[in-house]
Amino acid sequence: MKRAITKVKNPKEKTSVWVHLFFILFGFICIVPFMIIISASFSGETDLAINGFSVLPRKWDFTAYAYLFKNPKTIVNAYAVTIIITAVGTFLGVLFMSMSAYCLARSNFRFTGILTFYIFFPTLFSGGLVPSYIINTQYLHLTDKLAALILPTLINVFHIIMLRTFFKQLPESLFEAAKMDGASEYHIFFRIAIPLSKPVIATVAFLGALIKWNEWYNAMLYIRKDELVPLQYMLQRMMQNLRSLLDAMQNAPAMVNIQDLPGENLRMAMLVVAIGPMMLVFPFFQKYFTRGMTVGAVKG
Amino acid sequence: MKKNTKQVKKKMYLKDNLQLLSLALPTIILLGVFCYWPMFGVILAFKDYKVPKGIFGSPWAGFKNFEFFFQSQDAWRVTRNTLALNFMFIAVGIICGVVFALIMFEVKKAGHVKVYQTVSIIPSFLSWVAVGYIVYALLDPGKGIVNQILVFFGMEKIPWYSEAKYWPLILLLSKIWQSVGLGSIIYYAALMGVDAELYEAAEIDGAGRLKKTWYVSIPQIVPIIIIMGILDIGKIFRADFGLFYNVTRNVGALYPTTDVIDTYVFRALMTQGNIGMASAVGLFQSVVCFVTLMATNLIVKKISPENALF
Amino acid sequence: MKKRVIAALLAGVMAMSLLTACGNSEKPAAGESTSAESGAEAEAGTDEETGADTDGSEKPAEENGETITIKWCVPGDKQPDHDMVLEDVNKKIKEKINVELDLDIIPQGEFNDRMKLASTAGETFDLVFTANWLNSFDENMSRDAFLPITDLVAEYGQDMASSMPDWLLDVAKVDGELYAIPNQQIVARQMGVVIRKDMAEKYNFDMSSMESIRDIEPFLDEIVKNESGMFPIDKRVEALYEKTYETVGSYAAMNKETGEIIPMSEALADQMRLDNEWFRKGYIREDIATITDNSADVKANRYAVSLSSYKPGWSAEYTNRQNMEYIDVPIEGAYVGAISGIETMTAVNVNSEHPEEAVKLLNLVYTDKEIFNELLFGIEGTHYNVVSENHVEIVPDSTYSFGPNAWRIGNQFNAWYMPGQEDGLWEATDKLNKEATVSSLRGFTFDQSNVQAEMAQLAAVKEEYKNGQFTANDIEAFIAEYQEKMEQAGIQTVVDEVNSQVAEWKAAQ
Repeated sequence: MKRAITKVKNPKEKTSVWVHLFFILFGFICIVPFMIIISASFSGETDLAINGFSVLPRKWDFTAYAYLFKNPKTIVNAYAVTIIITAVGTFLGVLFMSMSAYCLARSNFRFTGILTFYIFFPTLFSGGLVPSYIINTQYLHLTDKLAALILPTLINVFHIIMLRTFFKQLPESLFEAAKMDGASEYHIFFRIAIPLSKPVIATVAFLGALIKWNEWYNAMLYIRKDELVPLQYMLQRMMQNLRSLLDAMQNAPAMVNIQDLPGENLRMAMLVVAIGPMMLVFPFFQKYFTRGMTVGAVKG
Repeated sequence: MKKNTKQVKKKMYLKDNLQLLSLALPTIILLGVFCYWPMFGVILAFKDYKVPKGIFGSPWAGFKNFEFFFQSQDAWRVTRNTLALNFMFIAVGIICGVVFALIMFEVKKAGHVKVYQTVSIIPSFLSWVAVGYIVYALLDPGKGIVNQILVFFGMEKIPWYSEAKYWPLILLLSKIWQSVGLGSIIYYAALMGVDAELYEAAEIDGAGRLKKTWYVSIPQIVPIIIIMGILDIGKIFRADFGLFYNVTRNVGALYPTTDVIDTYVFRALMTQGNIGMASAVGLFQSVVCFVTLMATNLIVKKISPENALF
Repeated sequence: MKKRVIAALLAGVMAMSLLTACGNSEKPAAGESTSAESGAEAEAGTDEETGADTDGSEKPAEENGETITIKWCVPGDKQPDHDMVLEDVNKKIKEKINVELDLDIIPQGEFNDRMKLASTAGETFDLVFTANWLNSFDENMSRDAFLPITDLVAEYGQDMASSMPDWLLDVAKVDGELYAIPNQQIVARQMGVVIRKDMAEKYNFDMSSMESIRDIEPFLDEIVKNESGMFPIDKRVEALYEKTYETVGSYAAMNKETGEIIPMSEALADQMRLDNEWFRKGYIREDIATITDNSADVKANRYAVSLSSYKPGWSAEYTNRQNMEYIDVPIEGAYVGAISGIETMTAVNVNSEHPEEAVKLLNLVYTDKEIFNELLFGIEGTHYNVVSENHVEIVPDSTYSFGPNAWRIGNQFNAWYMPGQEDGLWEATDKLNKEATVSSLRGFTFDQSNVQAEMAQLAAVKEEYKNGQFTANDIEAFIAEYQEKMEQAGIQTVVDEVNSQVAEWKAAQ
């Protein structure tokens, strides 16, 4: 199959120099700010206050990371929680969302209009935080359960609509042929629609994983046990902890030597710690963006 | 005989629909529980909420909770800013996303695509707080890089954080910079799905790069462009709070062009605000979004029915 | 075959989601009335859990039938050894009043959101921190979230009530009913400055010459001229405004001498002119409008002067913390405003199931030095060491040090002294409180329910013009614009409302 794809592509075609130039320039304006952030995370707090940000640290300083990894056990645990909710949430989310998106895309489905409306309406109207909180804590008993971090955000309506639009692009003849062979809708969905839609599924999975990876608000509302705290929320709390130590300066004698505490550099270090893993998994999703996938499979 | 096949067909149709419905069931249930059930909360917008009486038992307040926003001298300003800025973000965002994907599509080596794509989504990983710091590093009136460059070329320093007129553009650039890499992925995925035979046919007809893009690529991804547009317009009345709050550093002098509904409400209700007032503004935003979305969908339906949402 | 596997898998997934859904939808059938009950259920659930955590298999609620757990929500940072200290302190509390304390420490940044939700959802926590700046007392009052406790305090809280000056409780009284207990700490407000000692000596700053805030200007001029790496002043209070005015109802200003009440936007004009002048003279840092957090500069001792509110022992604390010597100078007299003391209070949740025990417990923590200090400092030897009578020292890297939070949970004057605090500090603070001039409006609390829409609009405008006065090119135009916008937002309506409520209150006196 791989071979079939490369055949489709014209091997003589070469990327234009202008295209390369464009991406090199754009890459530059993407990477430099990121380097500023990494550099800030390795700078001393006072240094930052006096001299501002720079692309490379003027003087290397590891206070921010030392502070972050003061309790390596907690941070490892937080990573684990985040990985679990991201993996489970993304898998179930993509499965459920593509199932319903497929449903909406099929021409023989009777309730397309009403189901689309049902799915789309919640993006416009929401009951707000208070009723959700009451339901989640008092009826669903989600307090201190990982389900609180997975279930409420499992379905992303925008992603369903994206998936639906892609499923709709698949040639109708494909489904009809399968039907003739007596295939059930389940079979068509899992064996035909999904394999043909890998690029969009990978896209949605990545977008979804990104959202779940950054989850902290529901954790703030529903998680009390330290061992269930996800990474982003743990980092938030660390930052707050630090802030209130600094605030305490106004009200009481400091219990620690505040001169040693990190500040803005910690905020930057947190960012690096949080986004590093997500950047590493991106290529995994990316490998599904393979040119000619659809055609190759249909024709093959 | 004829009747029989009809019956079989009908039976099949029914079976198919049941199967399809069962596929949609998890979504239906999850939305029902986590989105529809809490919707009773919209009545909070019309209540004078009292804790001992609960949501349903509290006295009705009529439209009192809406007053603070609609009476406000800034209501028009923040509504205008929200709509204008969001509209600009949507239009420019889609154009840039599509163009970016098309250029990416011109990169022929898979290895290059990987590197370019990875690099260009880096900004999407940065929170608005971080983007705010970066913008500040550039525009800081004293130490900022941009002003240093201006001085280097013998020009006057610009006090960026007190000149409101520059900010729609600064916000737009920040927004596009942050989101274009990730946003283009969906269009790129769509381009991946275009039947290669179409390109081959175009080539046989002697079409060059630009022509192939114009006559093959773009028409093929129009449906996804339209859908993304409709989805975005459904959010046009809700501003990205993080962007407007962090990137402007919440400086009052910039409000004339950067104050949006979400930042205004945050400011007004921060310390003393009650739940009813917050719900009221939320409801107002919902209604406007609903209307704009329905209108857009209607227009799309008139022009190209197959691309409409409903 | 594959088809079957898929079907089975799918069925499994369905069943799962159906199960969760059923579990979800069974309970709420009874509708609104269940909300309080299930709230209680959830509460009981957590109680059991904490019980299990601390006492193994023992179920306190059932075994001795009487011990009640009181949940107390306080903003702060949960200490690593929180559970251990709480278990130990609970033995003592149980012995005294047969109550167990479940101290819920919630990060300050989350406190507003979480308490608002918990209270709105009808949760049954018992005691909660409230103030004008966090978990707003007025906002809570506007939705009847607190229990009136006049009688309960008379019965179970006599000791704590009598430990404070008579006027202190007034701040939490609405229509004669008491709704919260103010914590004791520095209540009176007095303007003051802390100054880097080396700078003061270098430029011969004579602290005895400080009578009004403007007397510091010559010193600041020297800093501007000679110390380019420093910022002359960190201005944290509106000293000029506060000299003449007291804020009532957030947006009205009462002239302390005449008692006249005018819009705050008018009263602030002179302060704004001074700010602008100071900015032009270089006393205020150039990036004042965009700086969001100056703690790094404070830490680095980059400010020569900090203008803030004075308290006894201030310079000693500063010196201890900053590794550099500072001196402090109070300016003007100490003043107790109409609502001074509102900054730190504890209230009883209206949905509390055990308000009596809650007040009992609060009274105990407020008056029992041993229990109070254990909550603050943990266990001796493990978390702190006694240096001398009433003085403690935190062990390095202590896993429990809530000490700086004394003002959040009771009577700070009962707390042990930490390094940098001198003997007699609490007595001095108490004295300052008691000898301060008391506002003529003491006892008056503003009910904002008639002007809520205006209050919200005013809040938005106020925030918009925050810090703008420093950088304004034409300060008079800036003030005019600010006053105009405040006018439009309805400041006069608020002032009128304040005036009429004050008149009513005075008539009732």
